[in-house]
Amino acid sequence: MVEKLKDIIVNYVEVEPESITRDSRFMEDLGFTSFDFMSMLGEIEDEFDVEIDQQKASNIKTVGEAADYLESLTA
Amino acid sequence: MMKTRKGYPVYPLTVAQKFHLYYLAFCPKKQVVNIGNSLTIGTDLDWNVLKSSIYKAYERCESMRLRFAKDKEGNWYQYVVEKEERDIEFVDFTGQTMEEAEKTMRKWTEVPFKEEDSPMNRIVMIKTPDGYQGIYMLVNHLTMDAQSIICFMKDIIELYCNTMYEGVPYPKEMHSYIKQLEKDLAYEAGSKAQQRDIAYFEKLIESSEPIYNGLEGTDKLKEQRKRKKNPKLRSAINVSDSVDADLDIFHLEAEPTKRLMDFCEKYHVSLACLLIMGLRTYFQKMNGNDDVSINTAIARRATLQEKKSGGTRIHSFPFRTIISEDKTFLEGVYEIRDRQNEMFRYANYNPTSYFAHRSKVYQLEPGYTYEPMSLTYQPMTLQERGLDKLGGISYKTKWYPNGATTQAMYLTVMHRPDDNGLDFNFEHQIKAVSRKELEYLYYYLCKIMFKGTENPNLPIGDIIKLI
Repeated sequence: MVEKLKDIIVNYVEVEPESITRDSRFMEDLGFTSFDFMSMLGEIEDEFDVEIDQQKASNIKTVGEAADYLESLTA
Repeated sequence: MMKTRKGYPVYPLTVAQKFHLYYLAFCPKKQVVNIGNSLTIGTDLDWNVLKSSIYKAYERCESMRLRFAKDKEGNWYQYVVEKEERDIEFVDFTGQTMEEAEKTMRKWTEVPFKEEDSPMNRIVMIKTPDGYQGIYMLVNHLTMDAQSIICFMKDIIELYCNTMYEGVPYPKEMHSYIKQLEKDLAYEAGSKAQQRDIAYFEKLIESSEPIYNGLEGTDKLKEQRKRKKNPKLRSAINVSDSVDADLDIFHLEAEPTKRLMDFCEKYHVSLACLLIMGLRTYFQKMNGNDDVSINTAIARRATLQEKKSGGTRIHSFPFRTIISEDKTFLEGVYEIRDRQNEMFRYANYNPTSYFAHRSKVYQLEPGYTYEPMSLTYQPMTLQERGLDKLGGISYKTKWYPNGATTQAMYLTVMHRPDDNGLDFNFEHQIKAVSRKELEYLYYYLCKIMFKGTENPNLPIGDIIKLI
């Protein structure tokens, strides 16, 4: 899941995929804005055919947390 | 319908562009869509290299080569010409005062562009009286917005540095404006995503009627209720009969700005949320309403393609919050964050449709509004967008007002590139809002934000009493 997320993340911010880890924080480490993050969620919903809970999404800080949450939705 | 113009394929305008046409139609001063700014550097520039860097940047940015044309029915179209062929002007302000030089650039910003088949920007290489050198740039807002202007400036600098200095890499490619435009137009042509966004906003609008909050309190609303003989009136006319505008700037020093930024980092909220919280609490204090609406701008640049394809993408929507005084400052900020995040997901909705639907639902008369002001927070500066390549060389940026606005007050908050402190740029109709009113607003806005960030668990009502 982290690898799939990396492919999406690099469409939003100028980072090398290999520098993205589970611990990478979207805002502080990858340079995401709130708008980037919310737009990416829209893309993830379409890509994985899932519905993301707004409140839960607001608490996601790292790539690992996002991957775990997505896995719970697609399981 | 036009298909080509001068051999180039033509495209309809996006809703973001049409929004500018919407207010332009009512504005007697056509320069209302002009944006002027300058970037100067404290070192001698090679003018020939700068000139070729500017041409190269034009080549890499399609929206700087946009032209407009109208068909027989009066519909506007756009097309991109192959290259920029005008000479790049040079103006030496040496011997004048800085005030005189800035006055001249302000005058340039007040000159409207010719509408059809004509360039929608002007670039002048400048040497200012303080010995700095750089460029002045004027664009039509239908072709560029603040973020794309900064991106274009950054490109010029990186191209210049690549030629001048060893080891500076050639900047990465820009993205195609046309490709992004085609994507936006496909969304607007009745896509599923568009239907979802329409449903969200129409439900939001229909939930209940907002209320107008005045800068100086309830006097304006009371007066209009009396004049209309309608004690339940919730909207008011906020603008004056003159679009003549001025720009008043208030500077927040680097250290207090850092305190606000530290709060945002600690609680994982954006500075935009904190600014909205400060502003809405000010209106809550002045009007006694928990229900406050202000217009906020959404840049709509998330993907790299959106960030690097130029153009104008801003959508402005009213941002309404109902936060009672017994909630804490932090609860208020979180509520704003959650509501804003929610709105971001539907931000491609047509802002003109928003206002049209709202007017229909609440039978709003022309000119009546619920929002006393608009807010834009511009987080991007040239500091992080290229000027780091110049090492320790100092530089200055300046935005010039175009002398007209269709709104009573428009606040743009930006970071100063030199110290990262905040500049509060209030563009306002001279007849609608005075400098004294702005000083009062700015004073209390800062007091609210600092009291709140220092005591995030304090109820909003207590903050209002304490400041």
